[in-house]
Amino acid sequence: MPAKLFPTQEIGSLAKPRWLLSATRQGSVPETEVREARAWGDLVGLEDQGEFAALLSAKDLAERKEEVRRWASLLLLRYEESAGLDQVYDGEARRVEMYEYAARRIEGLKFLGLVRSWDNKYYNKAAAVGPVKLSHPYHVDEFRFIQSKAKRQVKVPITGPYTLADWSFNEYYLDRHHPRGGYKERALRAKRDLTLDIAREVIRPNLRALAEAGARIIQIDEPAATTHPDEVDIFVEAFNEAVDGVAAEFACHICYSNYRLLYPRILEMKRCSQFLWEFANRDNSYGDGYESLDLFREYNDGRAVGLGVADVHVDTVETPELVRDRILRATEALGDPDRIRVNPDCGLRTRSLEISYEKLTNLVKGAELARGALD
Amino acid sequence: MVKACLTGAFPRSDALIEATRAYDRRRLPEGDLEEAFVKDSEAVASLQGTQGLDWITDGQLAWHDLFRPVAEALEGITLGPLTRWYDNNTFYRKPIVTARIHRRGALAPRYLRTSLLPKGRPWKAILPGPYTFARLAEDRAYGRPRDLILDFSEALAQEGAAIAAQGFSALQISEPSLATDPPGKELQATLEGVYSDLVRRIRAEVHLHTYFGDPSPILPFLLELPVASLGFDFHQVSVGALAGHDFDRALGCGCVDARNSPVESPQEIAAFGRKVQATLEPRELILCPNADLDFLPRAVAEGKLTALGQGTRQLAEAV
Repeated sequence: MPAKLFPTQEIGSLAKPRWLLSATRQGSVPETEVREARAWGDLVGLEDQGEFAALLSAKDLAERKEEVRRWASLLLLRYEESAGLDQVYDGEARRVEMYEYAARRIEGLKFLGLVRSWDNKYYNKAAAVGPVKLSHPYHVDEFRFIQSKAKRQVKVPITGPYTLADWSFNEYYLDRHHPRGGYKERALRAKRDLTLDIAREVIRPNLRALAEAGARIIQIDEPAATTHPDEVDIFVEAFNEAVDGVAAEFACHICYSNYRLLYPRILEMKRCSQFLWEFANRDNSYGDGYESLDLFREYNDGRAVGLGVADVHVDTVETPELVRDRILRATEALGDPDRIRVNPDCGLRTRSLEISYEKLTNLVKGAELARGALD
Repeated sequence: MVKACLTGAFPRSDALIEATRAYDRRRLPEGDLEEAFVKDSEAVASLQGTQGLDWITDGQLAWHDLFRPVAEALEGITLGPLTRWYDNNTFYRKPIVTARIHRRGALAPRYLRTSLLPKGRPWKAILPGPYTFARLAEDRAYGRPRDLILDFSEALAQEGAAIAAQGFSALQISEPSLATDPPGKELQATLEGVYSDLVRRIRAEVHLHTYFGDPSPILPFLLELPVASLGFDFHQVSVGALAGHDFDRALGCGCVDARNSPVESPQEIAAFGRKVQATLEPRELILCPNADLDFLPRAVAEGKLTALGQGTRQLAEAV
């Protein structure tokens, strides 16, 4: 049970600050972005502002990328803390993107180019061209830094094995299977091989390293979980393989999905104590976006729910009252307020830092209103 | 006879992707973005011509999803939440039908770049099918799928006729849901009437392409539709599953995989075409990708398009 009702939590990436992009790409930060960065520093209570100001005015930042990224990490950690979230990270400030950051650190994957996700949004997609293997745990340094600075509880997000496999092309593992049985069956066997290899050879060593470094709560991000309804068993098997023997508490984030497709197989994810789902995106004047919560009762699934109360694809900022009502709607559906954690639908990286901050502060206010409503 | 064509949107070049990003960040004026679209659309049309494809498309580079351009041209539809596009890591805005549908006007010019298509070569346009629309839209106005299908089809017929009048010789109706979620008998009867009406009213060949699933359970129904060709995704259905039927028309042979990166060799494409010819004996064979090559990076898609052209020539020469 959480220390208070409706604790609020980070869920994923934030937009990269403009000064961070300028510093790492061009080696220096334009004056307007320096002012912007310092204003954010003031707002969120960043420490050592003199040192930060000196960094921003330097002209050799292309050679000091690690230092620049540490400051970005610290700034966004304070951003989440000052917005009032109870569980925080750094908005994945050091990660270029949830797929590419991981894929770049996996042996056996080769990038082929940009592929559309939706509208004008693209991601750099790799192909498995050899057996996958972890060269070096890739979140430990980031975690240690955040843990050493955080004033709130830390939750580490990490992209899961099924999503990494599903978002990659599959060449090597496909070639290992004979076409007997037809292309579809062959592709399915190859997909299972790739996914389980990523779970065992890449994600599990990462999770172990994080746990050994002191991570207590780890969120495995699996937005692809329901992409192929006939592969839910692969997703579940991969999750269980990845967390096997790792001493930490695990949550799993899945978004933009038909959650019914996951049941009953996800009941087998015994080590997952919380599902963080997206709801606000589908909650509008045309319908109740929180109907999927009924699945928890229908399948007697007593896990905690990370309740998406802020739509990350629109600039409209949810009012605290709307957030409150969504939380109370979920309380009614689950029948147990202790199981509800509050978060945006997904990472806010497509919104500006200004909009995201408003969304997060209203999310925190809405949780407070909901607590008041239940008193 | 062996032909070849694309069956959906082509991926944007890195330069165009960068231009759209810059535009979205308000760092590029609209005129420059349009220029980037024009340049890239010309390149895509040119590549199809060079590889000898039998119908040329504009690559649909401005289409955000299969429905958006059509939805924008219709009354009665608003755009809903981002929703997964079948079993892909790609999302579309779910059309929400809030009132009776009728056509407001033609597709916006950016969605059909007629002026960029090569003169003297056959052109093809691609529109979403009525069944697929009814399955994937959210109906808050009609209540019965049949009524929604009929009104959408009326708009489609008007749009198809307008497209044909611009000089397009082929119109492909994309109907993935026919393969992933086949209609029951009642809707099959509705669709027979709908497709007869489309074919009668549109002064261009009407081709029907199914993908992402196995349409063999409803093959007898599909063969009743008076379309110029029926297209199949041969990465979802085996050739054997379609055997034993009379293909008295052209068959769209979706053998180039739009959803995985290995580039088929021209020999593989030609060999697969031969197998389909020998097994199903269609009146005409149209080699094509199983779906939009937009699922691939541009360089991979160009490799596949090139292989498609070469494979088609190899098979045609052998025939």
